[in-house]
Amino acid sequence: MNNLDNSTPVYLQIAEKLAIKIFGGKLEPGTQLPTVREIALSEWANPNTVQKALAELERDGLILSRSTHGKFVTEDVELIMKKREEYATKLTETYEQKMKDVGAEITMPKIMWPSNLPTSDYAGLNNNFKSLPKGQKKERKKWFF
Amino acid sequence: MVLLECKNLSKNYGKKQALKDINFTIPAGKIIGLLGRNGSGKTTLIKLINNLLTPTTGQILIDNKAPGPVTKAIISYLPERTYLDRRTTIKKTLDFFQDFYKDFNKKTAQKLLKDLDLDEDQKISAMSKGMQEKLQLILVMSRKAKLYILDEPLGGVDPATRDYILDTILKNFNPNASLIISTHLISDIERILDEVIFIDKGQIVLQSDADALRAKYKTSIDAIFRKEMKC
Repeated sequence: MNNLDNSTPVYLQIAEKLAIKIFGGKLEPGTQLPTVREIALSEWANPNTVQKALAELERDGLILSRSTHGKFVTEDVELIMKKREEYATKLTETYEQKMKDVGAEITMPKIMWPSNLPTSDYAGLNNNFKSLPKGQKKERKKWFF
Repeated sequence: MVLLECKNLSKNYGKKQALKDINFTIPAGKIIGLLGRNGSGKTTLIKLINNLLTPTTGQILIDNKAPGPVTKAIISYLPERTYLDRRTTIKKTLDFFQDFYKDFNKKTAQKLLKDLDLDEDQKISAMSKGMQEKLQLILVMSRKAKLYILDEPLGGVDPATRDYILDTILKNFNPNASLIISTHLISDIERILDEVIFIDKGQIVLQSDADALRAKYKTSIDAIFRKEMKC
Protein backbone atom coordinates (compact mmCIF):
# COMPACT_ATOMS: atom_id res chain seq x y z
CA MET A 1 0.00 0.00 0.00
CA ASN A 2 3.02 2.24 -0.46
CA ASN A 3 1.68 4.26 -3.30
CA LEU A 4 -1.65 4.98 -1.68
CA ASP A 5 -2.29 8.49 -0.59
CA ASN A 6 -4.88 9.18 2.05
CA SER A 7 -4.59 12.93 2.13
CA THR A 8 -6.75 13.72 -0.88
CA PRO A 9 -10.26 12.42 -1.50
CA VAL A 10 -9.99 8.80 -2.58
CA TYR A 11 -12.67 9.14 -5.23
CA LEU A 12 -10.68 11.89 -6.96
CA GLN A 13 -7.56 9.73 -6.88
CA ILE A 14 -9.41 6.86 -8.52
CA ALA A 15 -10.99 9.17 -11.10
CA GLU A 16 -7.56 10.56 -11.93
CA LYS A 17 -6.01 7.11 -12.28
CA LEU A 18 -8.75 6.02 -14.65
CA ALA A 19 -8.51 9.27 -16.62
CA ILE A 20 -4.75 8.74 -17.01
CA LYS A 21 -5.44 5.25 -18.34
CA ILE A 22 -7.84 6.72 -20.88
CA PHE A 23 -5.40 9.49 -21.88
CA GLY A 24 -2.52 7.06 -22.17
CA GLY A 25 -4.50 4.56 -24.19
CA LYS A 26 -4.51 1.79 -21.61
CA LEU A 27 -8.27 2.10 -21.73
CA GLU A 28 -9.09 2.68 -25.38
CA PRO A 29 -12.09 4.66 -26.65
CA GLY A 30 -15.20 2.52 -26.63
CA THR A 31 -13.89 -0.17 -24.30
CA GLN A 32 -15.92 -1.39 -21.40
CA LEU A 33 -14.73 -0.49 -17.93
CA PRO A 34 -14.27 -3.16 -15.31
CA THR A 35 -17.13 -3.50 -12.84
CA VAL A 36 -17.36 -1.32 -9.78
CA ARG A 37 -16.50 -4.31 -7.64
CA GLU A 38 -13.39 -5.10 -9.66
CA ILE A 39 -12.16 -1.55 -9.48
CA ALA A 40 -12.96 -1.45 -5.76
CA LEU A 41 -10.80 -4.49 -5.15
CA SER A 42 -7.91 -3.41 -7.33
CA GLU A 43 -7.97 0.08 -5.89
CA TRP A 44 -8.63 -1.05 -2.36
CA ALA A 45 -11.52 1.29 -1.97
CA ASN A 46 -15.13 0.70 -1.21
CA PRO A 47 -17.72 0.38 -3.98
CA ASN A 48 -19.44 3.66 -3.06
CA THR A 49 -16.18 5.52 -3.52
CA VAL A 50 -15.66 3.90 -6.91
CA GLN A 51 -19.21 4.89 -7.91
CA LYS A 52 -18.39 8.44 -6.99
CA ALA A 53 -15.19 8.36 -9.06
CA LEU A 54 -17.10 7.01 -12.06
CA ALA A 55 -19.76 9.69 -11.65
CA GLU A 56 -17.00 12.28 -11.77
CA LEU A 57 -15.65 10.85 -15.04
CA GLU A 58 -19.14 10.64 -16.43
CA ARG A 59 -19.68 14.30 -15.69
CA ASP A 60 -16.50 15.07 -17.63
CA GLY A 61 -17.83 12.97 -20.48
CA LEU A 62 -14.87 10.60 -20.45
CA ILE A 63 -17.07 7.62 -19.71
CA LEU A 64 -20.65 6.81 -20.61
CA SER A 65 -23.24 4.52 -19.06
CA ARG A 66 -25.08 2.17 -21.30
CA SER A 67 -28.01 0.88 -19.34
CA THR A 68 -27.51 -2.70 -18.18
CA HIS A 69 -24.28 -3.00 -20.16
CA GLY A 70 -22.10 -1.11 -17.74
CA LYS A 71 -19.79 1.79 -18.34
CA PHE A 72 -17.69 2.50 -21.41
CA VAL A 73 -14.90 4.85 -22.38
CA THR A 74 -16.27 7.54 -24.68
CA GLU A 75 -15.59 7.18 -28.38
CA ASP A 76 -15.28 10.92 -28.69
CA VAL A 77 -11.54 11.08 -29.33
CA GLU A 78 -11.63 14.87 -29.67
CA LEU A 79 -12.97 15.14 -26.14
CA ILE A 80 -10.35 12.76 -24.79
CA MET A 81 -7.61 14.80 -26.44
CA LYS A 82 -9.06 18.03 -25.08
CA LYS A 83 -9.22 16.67 -21.54
CA ARG A 84 -5.75 15.23 -21.95
CA GLU A 85 -4.42 18.64 -22.95
CA GLU A 86 -6.05 20.18 -19.87
CA TYR A 87 -4.57 17.55 -17.64
CA ALA A 88 -1.09 17.94 -19.14
CA THR A 89 -1.28 21.71 -18.78
CA LYS A 90 -2.21 21.32 -15.15
CA LEU A 91 0.79 19.05 -14.66
CA THR A 92 3.22 21.51 -16.21
CA GLU A 93 1.76 24.32 -14.14
CA THR A 94 2.31 22.30 -10.99
CA TYR A 95 5.85 21.65 -12.14
CA GLU A 96 6.41 25.34 -12.83
CA GLN A 97 5.08 26.30 -9.41
CA LYS A 98 7.26 23.76 -7.63
CA MET A 99 10.32 24.92 -9.53
CA LYS A 100 9.50 28.51 -8.58
CA ASP A 101 9.21 27.43 -4.95
CA VAL A 102 12.82 26.24 -5.00
CA GLY A 103 13.88 29.44 -6.77
CA ALA A 104 14.42 28.04 -10.24
CA GLU A 105 13.43 29.84 -13.41
CA ILE A 106 12.18 27.65 -16.20
CA THR A 107 10.73 28.16 -19.61
CA MET A 108 7.52 26.22 -19.91
CA PRO A 109 7.88 23.14 -22.06
CA LYS A 110 5.76 22.81 -25.17
CA ILE A 111 3.45 19.83 -24.91
CA MET A 112 3.63 17.58 -27.94
CA TRP A 113 1.42 14.63 -28.74
CA PRO A 114 1.62 11.85 -31.27
CA SER A 115 -0.95 12.33 -33.99
CA ASN A 116 -3.14 9.52 -32.70
CA LEU A 117 -4.16 8.41 -29.27
CA PRO A 118 -1.87 5.66 -28.08
CA THR A 119 -3.49 2.26 -28.02
CA SER A 120 -3.31 -0.43 -25.41
CA ASP A 121 -0.82 -2.38 -27.56
CA TYR A 122 1.47 0.53 -27.18
CA ALA A 123 0.79 1.37 -23.57
CA GLY A 124 -0.73 -1.71 -22.07
CA LEU A 125 2.25 -3.61 -20.75
CA ASN A 126 0.85 -4.06 -17.29
CA ASN A 127 -2.78 -3.53 -17.94
CA ASN A 128 -4.33 -5.16 -14.93
CA PHE A 129 -7.82 -4.35 -16.04
CA LYS A 130 -7.78 -6.91 -18.81
CA SER A 131 -9.73 -9.80 -17.45
CA LEU A 132 -7.66 -12.81 -16.64
CA PRO A 133 -8.69 -16.38 -17.29
CA LYS A 134 -10.58 -17.75 -14.33
CA GLY A 135 -8.15 -19.78 -12.27
CA GLN A 136 -5.53 -17.09 -12.63
CA LYS A 137 -7.34 -14.48 -10.60
CA LYS A 138 -5.39 -15.13 -7.46
CA GLU A 139 -2.12 -14.02 -8.98
CA ARG A 140 -3.58 -10.69 -9.93
CA LYS A 141 -1.75 -7.80 -8.38
CA LYS A 142 -4.29 -6.31 -6.12
CA TRP A 143 -3.49 -2.87 -4.99
CA PHE A 144 -1.57 -1.36 -7.84
CA PHE A 145 -1.98 -0.73 -11.46
CA MET B 1 -32.89 4.45 4.68
CA VAL B 2 -31.81 4.54 8.30
CA LEU B 3 -30.41 1.24 9.46
CA LEU B 4 -29.22 2.16 12.91
CA GLU B 5 -30.32 4.95 15.15
CA CYS B 6 -29.05 5.91 18.59
CA LYS B 7 -31.09 8.46 20.52
CA ASN B 8 -29.79 10.20 23.65
CA LEU B 9 -27.87 7.08 24.48
CA SER B 10 -25.94 6.96 27.76
CA LYS B 11 -24.21 4.18 29.62
CA ASN B 12 -22.81 4.32 33.11
CA TYR B 13 -20.60 1.77 34.79
CA GLY B 14 -21.30 2.60 38.41
CA LYS B 15 -20.28 6.21 38.79
CA LYS B 16 -18.26 6.26 35.59
CA GLN B 17 -20.07 7.55 32.55
CA ALA B 18 -18.84 5.58 29.55
CA LEU B 19 -21.19 7.08 26.99
CA LYS B 20 -22.82 10.49 27.27
CA ASP B 21 -25.90 11.38 25.31
CA ILE B 22 -24.95 9.79 22.01
CA ASN B 23 -27.05 10.66 18.96
CA PHE B 24 -26.40 9.41 15.45
CA THR B 25 -27.90 7.48 12.57
CA ILE B 26 -26.33 5.14 10.06
CA PRO B 27 -27.82 4.63 6.60
CA ALA B 28 -27.77 1.36 4.68
CA GLY B 29 -25.00 0.68 2.18
CA LYS B 30 -22.10 2.37 3.94
CA ILE B 31 -18.80 1.39 5.47
CA ILE B 32 -18.38 3.40 8.62
CA GLY B 33 -15.30 3.83 10.75
CA LEU B 34 -15.91 4.19 14.46
CA LEU B 35 -12.69 5.86 15.46
CA GLY B 36 -11.52 6.67 18.93
CA ARG B 37 -8.65 6.25 21.33
CA ASN B 38 -8.47 3.39 23.78
CA GLY B 39 -11.18 3.77 26.38
CA SER B 40 -13.19 6.29 24.36
CA GLY B 41 -16.35 4.15 24.46
CA LYS B 42 -16.16 2.31 21.13
CA THR B 43 -16.64 -1.17 22.53
CA THR B 44 -19.32 -0.04 24.98
CA LEU B 45 -21.29 1.43 22.09
CA ILE B 46 -20.85 -1.74 20.05
CA LYS B 47 -21.93 -3.94 22.94
CA LEU B 48 -25.04 -1.82 23.43
CA ILE B 49 -25.95 -2.19 19.76
CA ASN B 50 -25.46 -5.94 20.08
CA ASN B 51 -27.67 -6.15 23.15
CA LEU B 52 -24.80 -7.36 25.33
CA LEU B 53 -25.26 -4.35 27.56
CA THR B 54 -28.37 -2.34 28.35
CA PRO B 55 -28.38 1.44 28.08
CA THR B 56 -28.62 3.50 31.25
CA THR B 57 -30.78 5.96 29.33
CA GLY B 58 -31.73 6.44 25.72
CA GLN B 59 -32.72 4.22 22.87
CA ILE B 60 -31.23 2.16 20.07
CA LEU B 61 -33.15 1.13 16.97
CA ILE B 62 -31.77 -1.33 14.45
CA ASP B 63 -33.88 -1.50 11.32
CA ASN B 64 -36.55 0.14 13.47
CA LYS B 65 -36.42 -2.58 16.11
CA ALA B 66 -35.13 -2.50 19.66
CA PRO B 67 -32.09 -4.73 20.35
CA GLY B 68 -33.09 -8.33 20.99
CA PRO B 69 -33.22 -11.70 19.24
CA VAL B 70 -34.76 -10.10 16.12
CA THR B 71 -31.88 -7.68 15.74
CA LYS B 72 -29.26 -10.30 16.55
CA ALA B 73 -30.53 -12.20 13.55
CA ILE B 74 -29.63 -9.30 11.25
CA ILE B 75 -26.38 -8.17 12.86
CA SER B 76 -23.17 -10.02 12.18
CA TYR B 77 -20.78 -9.18 14.97
CA LEU B 78 -17.06 -9.72 15.28
CA PRO B 79 -16.12 -9.14 18.90
CA GLU B 80 -12.73 -7.98 20.02
CA ARG B 81 -11.87 -11.43 21.33
CA THR B 82 -12.62 -14.67 19.58
CA TYR B 83 -15.26 -16.87 21.20
CA LEU B 84 -14.72 -20.06 19.22
CA ASP B 85 -14.73 -23.34 21.09
CA ARG B 86 -11.09 -24.42 21.01
CA ARG B 87 -11.89 -28.10 21.50
CA THR B 88 -13.90 -28.46 18.35
CA THR B 89 -13.03 -28.56 14.63
CA ILE B 90 -13.56 -26.01 11.87
CA LYS B 91 -16.19 -28.26 10.31
CA LYS B 92 -18.23 -28.42 13.51
CA THR B 93 -17.90 -24.68 13.96
CA LEU B 94 -19.38 -24.18 10.48
CA ASP B 95 -22.27 -26.50 11.33
CA PHE B 96 -22.81 -24.62 14.55
CA PHE B 97 -23.00 -21.32 12.72
CA GLN B 98 -25.39 -22.78 10.19
CA ASP B 99 -27.69 -23.98 12.96
CA PHE B 100 -27.45 -20.69 14.71
CA TYR B 101 -27.89 -18.17 11.93
CA LYS B 102 -30.43 -18.47 9.15
CA ASP B 103 -28.43 -16.13 6.94
CA PHE B 104 -25.17 -18.06 7.25
CA ASN B 105 -23.87 -19.26 3.89
CA LYS B 106 -21.75 -22.32 4.50
CA LYS B 107 -20.58 -22.47 0.89
CA THR B 108 -19.16 -18.96 1.05
CA ALA B 109 -17.34 -19.84 4.25
CA GLN B 110 -15.96 -23.05 2.77
CA LYS B 111 -14.72 -21.20 -0.28
CA LEU B 112 -12.97 -18.62 1.85
CA LEU B 113 -11.43 -21.34 4.00
CA LYS B 114 -10.16 -23.08 0.90
CA ASP B 115 -8.42 -19.88 -0.17
CA LEU B 116 -6.58 -20.04 3.14
CA ASP B 117 -5.71 -23.72 2.64
CA LEU B 118 -7.41 -24.56 5.91
CA ASP B 119 -8.37 -28.15 6.49
CA GLU B 120 -11.89 -28.37 7.88
CA ASP B 121 -10.98 -31.26 10.15
CA GLN B 122 -8.44 -29.18 11.93
CA LYS B 123 -9.05 -28.37 15.55
CA ILE B 124 -9.37 -24.75 16.55
CA SER B 125 -6.81 -25.26 19.30
CA ALA B 126 -4.24 -26.32 16.70
CA MET B 127 -4.59 -23.02 14.84
CA SER B 128 -2.44 -19.97 15.43
CA LYS B 129 -4.00 -16.87 16.91
CA GLY B 130 -3.88 -15.12 13.54
CA MET B 131 -5.57 -18.06 11.84
CA GLN B 132 -8.29 -18.13 14.47
CA GLU B 133 -8.92 -14.46 13.84
CA LYS B 134 -9.17 -15.10 10.11
CA LEU B 135 -11.59 -17.97 10.70
CA GLN B 136 -13.71 -15.78 12.92
CA LEU B 137 -13.79 -13.08 10.26
CA ILE B 138 -14.76 -15.61 7.61
CA LEU B 139 -17.64 -16.80 9.77
CA VAL B 140 -18.85 -13.25 10.33
CA MET B 141 -18.53 -12.20 6.68
CA SER B 142 -20.25 -15.36 5.42
CA ARG B 143 -23.53 -14.24 6.89
CA LYS B 144 -25.88 -12.21 4.75
CA ALA B 145 -26.60 -9.69 7.46
CA LYS B 146 -27.98 -6.19 7.27
CA LEU B 147 -25.42 -4.77 9.63
CA TYR B 148 -21.87 -5.97 10.17
CA ILE B 149 -20.03 -4.76 13.23
CA LEU B 150 -16.34 -5.48 13.49
CA ASP B 151 -14.74 -4.49 16.76
CA GLU B 152 -11.02 -3.92 16.27
CA PRO B 153 -10.54 -6.52 13.52
CA LEU B 154 -6.96 -5.34 12.98
CA GLY B 155 -5.70 -5.38 16.54
CA GLY B 156 -2.36 -7.14 16.62
CA VAL B 157 -2.26 -8.61 13.12
CA ASP B 158 0.68 -8.46 10.74
CA PRO B 159 0.51 -6.32 7.57
CA ALA B 160 -0.15 -9.29 5.27
CA THR B 161 -3.01 -10.45 7.48
CA ARG B 162 -4.32 -6.92 7.62
CA ASP B 163 -4.45 -6.85 3.81
CA TYR B 164 -6.19 -10.21 3.84
CA ILE B 165 -8.78 -8.93 6.31
CA LEU B 166 -9.51 -5.76 4.36
CA ASP B 167 -9.69 -7.72 1.14
CA THR B 168 -12.12 -10.21 2.68
CA ILE B 169 -14.28 -7.39 3.98
CA LEU B 170 -14.41 -5.65 0.60
CA LYS B 171 -15.04 -8.84 -1.34
CA ASN B 172 -17.89 -10.01 0.86
CA PHE B 173 -19.46 -6.71 1.70
CA ASN B 174 -23.04 -6.66 0.53
CA PRO B 175 -23.85 -3.22 -0.92
CA ASN B 176 -27.28 -3.14 0.71
CA ALA B 177 -25.85 -3.73 4.15
CA SER B 178 -23.79 -1.44 6.32
CA LEU B 179 -20.57 -2.19 8.06
CA ILE B 180 -19.15 -0.56 11.16
CA ILE B 181 -15.46 -1.02 11.87
CA SER B 182 -14.10 0.21 15.15
CA THR B 183 -10.40 0.84 15.33
CA HIS B 184 -7.67 3.10 16.55
CA LEU B 185 -5.43 2.03 13.64
CA ILE B 186 -6.91 4.54 11.25
CA SER B 187 -4.31 4.77 8.52
CA ASP B 188 -4.70 1.06 7.80
CA ILE B 189 -8.38 1.23 7.02
CA GLU B 190 -9.32 4.78 6.21
CA ARG B 191 -9.24 4.15 2.49
CA ILE B 192 -12.21 1.82 2.55
CA LEU B 193 -14.43 4.04 4.70
CA ASP B 194 -17.41 6.03 3.44
CA GLU B 195 -18.03 7.77 6.68
CA VAL B 196 -16.22 8.32 9.92
CA ILE B 197 -17.48 8.79 13.43
CA PHE B 198 -14.98 10.20 15.93
CA ILE B 199 -15.72 9.23 19.48
CA ASP B 200 -13.92 10.71 22.45
CA LYS B 201 -14.55 10.48 26.18
CA GLY B 202 -17.91 8.86 25.56
CA GLN B 203 -19.16 11.48 23.14
CA ILE B 204 -19.44 11.74 19.40
CA VAL B 205 -17.19 14.56 18.33
CA LEU B 206 -17.69 14.30 14.61
CA GLN B 207 -19.59 12.36 12.00
CA SER B 208 -18.72 13.06 8.38
CA ASP B 209 -18.17 11.72 4.91
CA ALA B 210 -14.53 10.59 4.75
CA ASP B 211 -13.66 12.23 1.43
CA ALA B 212 -15.40 15.46 2.45
CA LEU B 213 -13.10 15.59 5.50
CA ARG B 214 -10.02 15.01 3.36
CA ALA B 215 -11.11 17.74 0.97
CA LYS B 216 -11.76 20.15 3.84
CA TYR B 217 -8.56 19.57 5.81
CA LYS B 218 -6.36 18.58 2.84
CA THR B 219 -4.92 15.72 4.82
CA SER B 220 -5.63 12.14 5.83
CA ILE B 221 -8.28 11.05 8.31
CA ASP B 222 -5.43 9.67 10.40
CA ALA B 223 -3.78 13.10 10.57
CA ILE B 224 -7.09 14.81 11.34
CA PHE B 225 -7.74 12.31 14.11
CA ARG B 226 -4.31 12.82 15.63
CA LYS B 227 -4.79 16.57 15.59
CA GLU B 228 -8.32 16.56 17.01
CA MET B 229 -7.69 13.92 19.62
CA LYS B 230 -4.42 15.22 20.96
CA CYS B 231 -4.07 14.40 24.64
